[in-house]
Amino acid sequence: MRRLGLCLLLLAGAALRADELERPRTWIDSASGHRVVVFPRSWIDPDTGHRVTQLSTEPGSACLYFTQYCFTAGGAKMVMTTPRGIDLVALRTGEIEHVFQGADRRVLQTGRRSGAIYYTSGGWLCTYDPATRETRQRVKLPAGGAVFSVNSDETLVAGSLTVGGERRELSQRRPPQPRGGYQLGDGVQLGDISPSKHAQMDRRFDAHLPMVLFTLDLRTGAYRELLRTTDWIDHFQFSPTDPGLLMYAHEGRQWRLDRIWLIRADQERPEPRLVHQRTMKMELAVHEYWSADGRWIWYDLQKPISEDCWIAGYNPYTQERRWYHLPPDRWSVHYNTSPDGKLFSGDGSDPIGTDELAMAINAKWIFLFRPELVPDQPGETPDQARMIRAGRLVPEKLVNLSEHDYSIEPNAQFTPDGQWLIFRSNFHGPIEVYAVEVARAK
Amino acid sequence: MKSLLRLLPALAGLLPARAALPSWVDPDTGHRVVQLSADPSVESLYFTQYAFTAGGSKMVMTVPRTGNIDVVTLATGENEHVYTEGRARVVQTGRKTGAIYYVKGGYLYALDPATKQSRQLVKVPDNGGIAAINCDETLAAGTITLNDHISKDSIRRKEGAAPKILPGGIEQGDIPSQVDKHAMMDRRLAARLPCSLFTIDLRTGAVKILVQGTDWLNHQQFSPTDPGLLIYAHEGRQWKVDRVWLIRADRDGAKPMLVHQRTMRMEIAVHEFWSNDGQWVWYDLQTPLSEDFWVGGYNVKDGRRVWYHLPGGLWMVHYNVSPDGTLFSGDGSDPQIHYAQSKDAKWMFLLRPELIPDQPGETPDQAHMIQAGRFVPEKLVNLAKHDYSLEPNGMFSPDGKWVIFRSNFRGPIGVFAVEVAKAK
Repeated sequence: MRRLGLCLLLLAGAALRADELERPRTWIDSASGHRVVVFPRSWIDPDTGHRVTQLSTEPGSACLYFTQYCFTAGGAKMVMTTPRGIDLVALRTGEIEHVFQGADRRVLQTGRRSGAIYYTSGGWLCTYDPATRETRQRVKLPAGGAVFSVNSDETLVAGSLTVGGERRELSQRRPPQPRGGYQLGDGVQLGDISPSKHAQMDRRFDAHLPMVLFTLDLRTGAYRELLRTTDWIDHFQFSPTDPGLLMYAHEGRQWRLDRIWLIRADQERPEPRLVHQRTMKMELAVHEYWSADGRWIWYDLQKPISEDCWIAGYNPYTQERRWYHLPPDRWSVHYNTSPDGKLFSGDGSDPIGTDELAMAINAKWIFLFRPELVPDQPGETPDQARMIRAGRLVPEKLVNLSEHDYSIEPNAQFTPDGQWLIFRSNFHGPIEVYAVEVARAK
Repeated sequence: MKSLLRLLPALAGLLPARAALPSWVDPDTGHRVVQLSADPSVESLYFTQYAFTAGGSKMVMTVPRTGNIDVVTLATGENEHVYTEGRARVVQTGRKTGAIYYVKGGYLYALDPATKQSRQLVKVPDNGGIAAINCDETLAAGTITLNDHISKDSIRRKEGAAPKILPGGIEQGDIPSQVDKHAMMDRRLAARLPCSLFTIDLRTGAVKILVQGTDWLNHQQFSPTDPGLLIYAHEGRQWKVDRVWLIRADRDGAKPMLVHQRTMRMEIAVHEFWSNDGQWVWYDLQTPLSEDFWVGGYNVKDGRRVWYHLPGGLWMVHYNVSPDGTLFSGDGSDPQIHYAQSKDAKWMFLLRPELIPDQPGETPDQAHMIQAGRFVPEKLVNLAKHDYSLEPNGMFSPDGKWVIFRSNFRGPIGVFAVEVAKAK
């Protein structure tokens, strides 16, 4: 009897210890009198049942923007930026390699064929090969030009320049510091949301500065102009599978423009093709990205803003359209798609503390969305073949982000094996990179 | 004696007739509900049929079992039997004269509810039906269909036919069964029967064919203010057709104009109706079916479009608009019966429209775009006990202060009105 009691006590103790590992530990520091909280490195979110693991080890770390391909070593490793420089993290072990020190490099993406890290430094596009640790200067950037996207076979990089340069008063001002601080060396993600952002965007939009969309040949360095325009163009994304197909955006307040365009980088005098035509005031199509197979462009469609939200898709090869409807209050800052195209993610959102106009209530979560097509009823008519195919998204909560400050965008991306979603968050204070498991913990 | 009988209705008007009919404040909504029909099995008209007379003070009700016609004085609840000869099918009341237009035995009649005198106007064309009278009461519109054995066999409520009584004593309503009705609609649409849209001159009896073809045409509704403007529907399962069309009835060779073009599979535009001022055609828009609900509006004068979004997946069998155009009504719905799986929707609703504000910096292309808004719903009547196989057919009273509807929520079918303002 005494023995049984002891066993039970031991079992209870063991359970308690295992459980405690997954909980924040907190105490009052005797010297300073401050409360100290140590968060676990891996835990099961009690509100969702999904395992969350912290990948970064340095406060102020970040994953790349949600559209930037960031995987290498056959999908086993991922690029992160830290206050110190650029790291690679092994997704399975959490082992971290410091690739670069310093804040003078801006990462574009990893190469889909070679796995090299593409970055710009000192007016050059450079590559770092994680396998050989070799660094190479690849092409010199044109004066005033910036590059953003490398095509799928790593023969071209796309970028833009403003003729005569950006006027200083139109350039981006550094917004107030968000909680958790900025991550250094990360020009794209710096200060996602700020009160002055929209006014500044309007000024830049109205200026109609002449711009050039160009490509550089990574073998010859040849500069080629694809487009000259006075529209404000931005967000260049090559197809992940078609080396000649480039998506770009007309930047500005999204209800004032038709944003998403396609252009062929492998044709003479290519004509831009509009992906989504607005038909409603205050309708917007934004936050576009490619499916992993390059067959679909997906985007955040609000018709109108905040009231009726979709993840909309366009197939540039068949002109098919699919629109998945979001249930109320599930609008998310960004969406993403799993490598097999079967699942979507959403970063959630918070109307408080940002000046986003979309207002979703109780949406501070990382979401998984399962798409369902609305079934056709019997008796299809010929005109239906050209129509939008509608569906809906069934949400599942993955991570409670109630403590997250959404002035930092989570930028969720699926891992190449589709089993985890990578995101950044400041919900424990400093910005760190996390992964949440798509499957529920056993 | 005869003169005394003639006096009786007048005397009845002086009596506190309202006291005889139930009236209560819905405890769940705080809105007053008044019963308007004195006899059982009396119904209000379809939500698009103009039903008011005597300057808007009285409303037509029908007795489908007999084909008789009653009139209720809205202020007092007094019921009058204005037509008792049976087998009449009411088209609508005249917006100019207040006459009750009805079809019986192949002829169109105008009944003066004050004198209860009927006047035979024109013969309805063979194989034809009449659905609408224009605003100056010079034209009627309808369709002629050849060889239609499909809908005739299937549509239960033919002229004066007795409704079936379901087990439990509830009268069978508009939806005999979704399966039967939809199968019939598919057969009828696929049959591509010769079908013509016509008008008939009420003074001369001249018939004019506006549209001729094999589309299934239906639901003619003249503009309430423009005597030459008519909307009509391409009938059928709504995801197979572009349904709502406009045509000028006063121009030779007029071309029909499509009011709403579908762009999505399983998108539907249905249950269209006119605004009281004749400026807007409103319709139930679903993008797609049962998922995303709107009331879409098209302005026939300037081509503007306004779409009001229904919040939270709420869908209503029918919508209607107040005479001043500032409020909408919705009949609610029941997921047990309807495709739409709206939660907590078995209510009569008041829908307050709000436009989504434009942000600064309008661009020229926005002028041609749809203006979107949303409805803010308010519950008017709890219809938890209503069997939605009977459509409530909500419509505003001409003074805009009441929404009139029919319901079986108290057992037998009756006509009720709910006050738009909350009870004090």
